[in-house]
Amino acid sequence: MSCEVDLKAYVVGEVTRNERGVVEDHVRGCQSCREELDRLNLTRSMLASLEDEEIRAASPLCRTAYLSRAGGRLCGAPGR
Amino acid sequence: MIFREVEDRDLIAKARRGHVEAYNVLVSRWEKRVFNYLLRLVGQREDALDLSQDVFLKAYQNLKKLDDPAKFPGWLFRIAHNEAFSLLRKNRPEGEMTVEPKFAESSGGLFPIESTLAVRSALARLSDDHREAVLLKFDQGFKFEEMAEILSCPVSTVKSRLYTALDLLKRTLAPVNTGGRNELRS
Repeated sequence: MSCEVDLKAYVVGEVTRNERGVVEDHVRGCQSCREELDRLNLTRSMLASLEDEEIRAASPLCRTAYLSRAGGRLCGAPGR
Repeated sequence: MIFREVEDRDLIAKARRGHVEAYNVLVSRWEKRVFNYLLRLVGQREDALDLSQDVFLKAYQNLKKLDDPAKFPGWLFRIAHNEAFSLLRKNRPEGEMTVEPKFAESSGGLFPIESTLAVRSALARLSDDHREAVLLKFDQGFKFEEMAEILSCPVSTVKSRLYTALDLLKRTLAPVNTGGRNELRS
């Protein structure tokens, strides 16, 4: 990729408003960057499709037990 | 009467004074995020559960060392990072292949199950450092600077890890992205 725009920074949301505009203007006129941006966006969408697991479903320990186990050791104020 | 949600900073202030119930509310707000981060890092549910308990216990014990309550999320994930990597180093000598994580069946969603499995498998094949960069950015939504604090490394390192991981994931997931049309692409 010879173009100087940072497509990955754009995809991960680490660009300023101005930089975002620069990337968007660039990809309108550059097919290879547009295709690369599509691939990156698809990858990001797939990562976002992963659902979080519930703690309760993940273990026979229900949350109450989990908290009371931890809470049992939480007597008094936190350490200095 | 207007009910206003108690802010994390109020819960932190109470917990610092030894108010265990306030801390339990804080835990209930953050445990799912921390647990899933740990699960995707270490790959085993029981390990992730044990680590979650250790993380919240350590956080409680060190709560008074947290200078700025607004930095609680990054501070908490820094503890989680340290706990996870301590276990990973113990369980997996350097250079050993990543173990495929065991997750519960997906309940479905926007993408088909094959796609979900492909993403999980692709994530599992990344190095621990690369996978963690992806998790902190995409799952947890931290900014580069926050990630650098969590990982105790320069922003340039965070960026490099994340960008490398993105390239690897893109290549691995490309055949899935295109519905298998690129299956022969190496």
